[in-house]
Amino acid sequence: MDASFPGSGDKPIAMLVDDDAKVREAMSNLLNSVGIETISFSSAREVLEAKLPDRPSCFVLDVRMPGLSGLDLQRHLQANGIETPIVFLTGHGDIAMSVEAMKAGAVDFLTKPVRDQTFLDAVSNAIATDIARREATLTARKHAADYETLTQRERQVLRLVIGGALNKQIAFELGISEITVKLHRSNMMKKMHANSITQLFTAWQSLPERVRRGDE
Amino acid sequence: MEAMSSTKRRALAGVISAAGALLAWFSSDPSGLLIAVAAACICIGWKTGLLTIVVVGFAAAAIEMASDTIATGGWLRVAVCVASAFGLWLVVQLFRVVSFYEQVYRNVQPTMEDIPGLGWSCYPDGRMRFVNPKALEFVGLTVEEMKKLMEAGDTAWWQPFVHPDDRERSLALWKHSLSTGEPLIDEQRVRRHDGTYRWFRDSAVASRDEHGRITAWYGTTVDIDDQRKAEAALRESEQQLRQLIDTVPALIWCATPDGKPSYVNQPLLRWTGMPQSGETTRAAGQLAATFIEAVHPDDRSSFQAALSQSFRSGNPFMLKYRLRRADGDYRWIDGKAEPLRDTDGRILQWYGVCLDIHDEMQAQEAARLADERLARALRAASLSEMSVSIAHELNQPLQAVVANANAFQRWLRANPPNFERASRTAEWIIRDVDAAADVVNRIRALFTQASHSRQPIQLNTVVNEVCELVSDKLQAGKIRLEIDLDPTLPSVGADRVQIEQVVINLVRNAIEATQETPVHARILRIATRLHNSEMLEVAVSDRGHGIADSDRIFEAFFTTKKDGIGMGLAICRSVIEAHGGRVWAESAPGRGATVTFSLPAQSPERDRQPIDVGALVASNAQTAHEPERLPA
Repeated sequence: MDASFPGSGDKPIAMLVDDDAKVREAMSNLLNSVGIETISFSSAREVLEAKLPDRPSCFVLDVRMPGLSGLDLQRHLQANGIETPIVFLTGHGDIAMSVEAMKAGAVDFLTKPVRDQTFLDAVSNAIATDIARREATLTARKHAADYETLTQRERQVLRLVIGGALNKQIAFELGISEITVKLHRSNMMKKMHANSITQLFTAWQSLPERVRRGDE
Repeated sequence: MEAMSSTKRRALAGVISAAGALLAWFSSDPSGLLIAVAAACICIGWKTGLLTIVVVGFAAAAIEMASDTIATGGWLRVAVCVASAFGLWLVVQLFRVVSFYEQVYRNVQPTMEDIPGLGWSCYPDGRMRFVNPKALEFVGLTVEEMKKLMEAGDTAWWQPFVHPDDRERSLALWKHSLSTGEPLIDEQRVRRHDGTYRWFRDSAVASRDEHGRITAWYGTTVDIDDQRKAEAALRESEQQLRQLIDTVPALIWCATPDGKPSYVNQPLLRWTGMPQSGETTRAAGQLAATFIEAVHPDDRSSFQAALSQSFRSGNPFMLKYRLRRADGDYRWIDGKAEPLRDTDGRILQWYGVCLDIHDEMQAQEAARLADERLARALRAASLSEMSVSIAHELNQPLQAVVANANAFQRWLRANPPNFERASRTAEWIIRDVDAAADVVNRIRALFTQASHSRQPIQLNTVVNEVCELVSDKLQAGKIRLEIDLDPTLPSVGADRVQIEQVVINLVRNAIEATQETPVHARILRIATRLHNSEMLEVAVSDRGHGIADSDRIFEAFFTTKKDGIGMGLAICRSVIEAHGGRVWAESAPGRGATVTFSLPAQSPERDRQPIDVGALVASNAQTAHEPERLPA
């Protein structure tokens, strides 16, 4: 690792993985010159053993490295549930290799020597993707936490509301009075921080599938 | 007297008798004849004595008659003479008997003591007569004890000193010898004075008088314990050796100096399935025939030739051949045999082993085939592989230069400009450019190492081999191959691998160029010819789209391919020019292209320097603008 970095925060950081120190330093220098912080690794193994920062970030991977290749590292990261976007850099990449990388979720596949603007755009793009991804994850986590606060009855009401049932139908379904349904529904909306059915639906959609299927 | 032989004694008796007879004749007194009787009795024996008496009787009568004194008491004198003769005969016989016993009882003792080792003597009936001091000492017997044993008169007096297990057999042998007079040879354990038993060999013979009567038994007893133990150890070690030979997982045989098998071990019998026999010394001819019959028919004549050559010359035998195993499979055998020689260098015995190397042979064969396949694959791929490596090596520093140069610009344009980072970036740029130069130098070094010494090669052979290497690709591309080789082509001095790579590269280019041609027109033509009897030319023609810019295709990094890096033809040109040849392309757009290279018939000595790809890459910019050499 070339630099110490704060473990968490909002400043984006690019993680460079290349076995060639010269290329690592040069790419890092280029990113620093446009204000992007960097952290460098000399091998895929080093990445897997490191504690990765909890910040908006992206990987810049060299495809061709001794030991684990960039494509191998991509597979390992996915297997570990790390969804940080990846930009590939390669000396001599063929079409099959790039297709494989892109299919596996790479943001970009660039051939060395790469033009500076192309590279910087690809990294910015990857970081933007990561920011969006992190936000989505954060919202989903918040919604899941909200959902956890609901009572059993409120969850039943939520499920029926999402299914498009009217209060009257819900009351019939659950065998309770319509007034009680309204009370549960208002509590549920408050707890889920939803002002409208649309917001409630978005929150519902972000919940893990396990919750939505009702496998609790 | 005793020492004289019987012939001499008879002669002596004859002479004395004749003298007596003459004396009697001349003195006309028959008493002189008594001398003859005495001589016959003493020197010859009692039967001759009696006969002589009869003769003397007649002779005396004849003398008396001749002297006419027969009437005057002649008969009386004859009778007195005969009676005297008979009396003489009796006296001599008596004396002989007496002297015989004298000999038996007294004469022998001193000679027995001189016998080395343990000696003993017995009376004819087997009673103990004498045991020498060494023997007494060995069994721990005092003289008094010996005397007691003698007085006891036991014919089996020796029994207490013999191991109980051996007594019965020894006694039987002893009795047999006593009754028949045959010599005794026996081996038995004898107790030493300290109680330990040692093996001894007894040999005894009967001593006889001149009438054949047994006068005594004389025996010696020799300590053979060490010998017995050595023999036993020898037997054991031989047994162990044989077990070893029969247990080791190797097929072992021995043969006499003239090549007749004398021994084969059990594993060999089992392995070949030859009939097992307790005695391995079967008829040598049969054994040899059985073995030779088991050798694979294809190897049999060479096997026999090599073996007989070795037996004749004495050189070690070495041959790998196939031998039929008991289950009928022929397996590869590594056969070896060495002669054992005596100090004069004469061969005493041949020792041979057969090692089953079938599995190793098969593994080796598989490995060799795999190696060949790999080598072919490498040969076919090396140029493009190499190009990729070169590209990667150069890309790294180039990428660093590009990125750092851009960063440099940005640090300076920043507000405020970051001079510190800019200056460090500039240092990095210099370092990265140096690294790129290093890469070029390394590639140059690589080519220096890879340049092999040149040998005479046949271009036609190279072409044929390349066609074989790329035959898969030709088939896959549905390309028809036309080969037109000049059989009179002389050989050229060249690096075979490099020339092969050039041909492969040209053929692969041609295959790729033909991809978009209609199937019926996909023809690839390779021709060799001799130009002006000094330059050999190899031309590769295709029916592809042709070359638009045939002047530039040999430049480094010039490519018309989507995924090419433009090194192939540049390297080809370096290789050919390093060999003193030229390479050029001719093309009619839309009607295909022909790439030809030429090599001089004699390898020019001056062109021994390695191909300078580094210089080629570095000076790319200059060569790009050189006027193109037009083909002849």
